[in-house]
Amino acid sequence: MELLSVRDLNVGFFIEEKFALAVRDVSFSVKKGETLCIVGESGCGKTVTSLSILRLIPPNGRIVKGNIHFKEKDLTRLSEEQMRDIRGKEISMIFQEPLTSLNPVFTIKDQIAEAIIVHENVLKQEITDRCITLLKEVGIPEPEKRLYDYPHQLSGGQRQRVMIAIALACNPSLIIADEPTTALDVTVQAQILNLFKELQERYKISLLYITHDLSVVAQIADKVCVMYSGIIVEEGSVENIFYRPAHPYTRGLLDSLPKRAHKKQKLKSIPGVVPDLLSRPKGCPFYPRCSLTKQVCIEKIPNFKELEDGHRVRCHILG
Amino acid sequence: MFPFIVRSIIQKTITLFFISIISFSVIHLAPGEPSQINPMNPRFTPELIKRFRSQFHLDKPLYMQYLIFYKDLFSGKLCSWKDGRPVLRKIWERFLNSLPLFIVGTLLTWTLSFPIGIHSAIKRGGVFDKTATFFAYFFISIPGFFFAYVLIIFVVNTFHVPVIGMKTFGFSSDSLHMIMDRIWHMLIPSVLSATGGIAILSRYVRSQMLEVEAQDYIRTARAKGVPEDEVHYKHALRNALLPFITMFGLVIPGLIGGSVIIESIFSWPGIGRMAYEAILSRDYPVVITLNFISAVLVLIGTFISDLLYMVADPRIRL
Ligand SMILES: Nc1ncnc2c1ncn2[C@@H]1O[C@H](COP(=O)(O)OP(=O)(O)OP(=O)(O)O)[C@@H](O)[C@H]1O
Ligand SMILES: [Mg+2]
Repeated sequence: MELLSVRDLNVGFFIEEKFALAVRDVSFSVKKGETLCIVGESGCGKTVTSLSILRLIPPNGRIVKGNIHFKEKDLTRLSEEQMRDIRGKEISMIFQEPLTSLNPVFTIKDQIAEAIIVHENVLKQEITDRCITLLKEVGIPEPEKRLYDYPHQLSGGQRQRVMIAIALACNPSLIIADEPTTALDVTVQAQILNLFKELQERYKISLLYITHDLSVVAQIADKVCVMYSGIIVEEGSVENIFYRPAHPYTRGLLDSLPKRAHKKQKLKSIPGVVPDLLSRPKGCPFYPRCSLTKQVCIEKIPNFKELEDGHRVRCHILG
Repeated sequence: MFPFIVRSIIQKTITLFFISIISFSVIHLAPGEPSQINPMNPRFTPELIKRFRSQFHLDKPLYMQYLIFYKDLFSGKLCSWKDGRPVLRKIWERFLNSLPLFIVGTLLTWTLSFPIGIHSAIKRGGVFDKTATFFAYFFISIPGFFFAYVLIIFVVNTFHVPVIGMKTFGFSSDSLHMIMDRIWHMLIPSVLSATGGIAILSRYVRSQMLEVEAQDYIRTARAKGVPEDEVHYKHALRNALLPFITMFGLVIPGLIGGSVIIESIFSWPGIGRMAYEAILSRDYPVVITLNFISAVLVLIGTFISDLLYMVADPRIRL
């Protein structure tokens, strides 16, 4: 049973009078208790995709096509008011920058409590207790004291833990985490990642985890979508993606992983950069950086080919 | 908090001491002195000038003059060189005249700028925002004196009330009419001094609000399901208001500033005009005293805004 299912999502932005699509024909689904990872380089549309689900894209953006089904509701058709009942209650989101994601003028308690108060009628004393429990849950030491701290009194890792506490406050069925560990140093990254795994096991929450780091994917994902320049180029189970990668971009990403490279051998990288929104090629977006490019790649975007059960790839040449 | 207050008062007293030296010497470094106000005047005999100079201690060395000056100022004995009246009394009278203009003008500015700026920012690009932007630039670019004359002509022609001065000359009636007369006279100059302020301040508020609305924590608030009004008025506004604490502190020196232009146009016997006239006639005691008082007010203003910051911004603990 699918909890969240995104179909043919197209999201664009008005940039200097022009309209450009940042996300094109993106489809994926997340089951209850499952973790889906979306991987891809900076600028490929991961954040835009995740913000679209909560309908929080910046004012110059539009969802031009597609459906987002969540528990039998189509989120693209709900009113703003109905959306508010979903945000923070059914679906929570954690952002990339823990340092700026908390409001500097309110205490930790205010900010956790707010998430509860907007969705539930609870007594004052009960709120304090729940805030303490939540902070314990996310591994903040001495939660009774930390409760009255302001964000600037906490470290980056602790702030991200507070963000997770806020996300957990109303027992959501889905958490969207947009590169939650990118801004943190490595040891803290590992701790936060473990926290996610623990919480997910305990509460059977579904997780849409966005990252550009394949080593994180290996640790946490059930399913993986590889995104490039606004489209999903390959999707499959973790095993599919790591052991039988089909798309040249996926292969390139795996080759650039330090673990795979032999000692002393230089890390490989994929030459070129992700094309800018307004100057994207007409055909397969990856062809300018691909070593296998043929005429057909330049002419049109490839369709999905089904390789095995649940393993699909968008490539004219391979697969 | 307490150590901060003590430290701050000591620091500001030291600053004030240096300001007193500088403002005193700057005036004396400027060319000319009161005794030379009109050297061509045949009645200014050398003996007279000499007497004049010694009466005002101008023949003593500068540091002595400084000491005498501030001794007189603090003992209240300082008198204007022009009419011999005590300086503090003179300033106090003019201050009371300017005060109503200042209060009404400031209240208008601060109570109108914020709603206008906030609303413009929230509904950015809408009709209200565009109208407000148009009028803001209109009032910023139109010269104050020109606008004043337009207003005077308009009010005199439509309502047939005189608006020059603080009250209608020779007008006496029951107290209610007197009060109404006073209010009429006060209204236009204060509205006038407020329009420029509103135009500028509402732009600041708008841009500050826009900047805060683009912050990550605003997105976090929305992602929690917080209603839009609370996102704007609770999460954004609290942060957007912080920089205005500094500006609010700088309102206080305006108490003694007054506006030369507006007071001249409306023949308002206020403090701005007195300062202007004192400079022209080289009435040093009045000029330096005004200077000193406004320095004190600036320091008090910054002190108050520091205290307000401590209350309003948890990141600041002095
Ligand atoms: N408000 C906006 N206006 C115009 N273009 C935008 C806007 N927001 C995002 N974009 C563009 O959409 C594309 C996708 O951006 P997105 O933020 O989703 O990338 P990302 O995959 O999350 O990258 P990162 O790893 O850096 O977070 C980028 O090319 C970006 O420039
Ligand atoms: Mg992003």
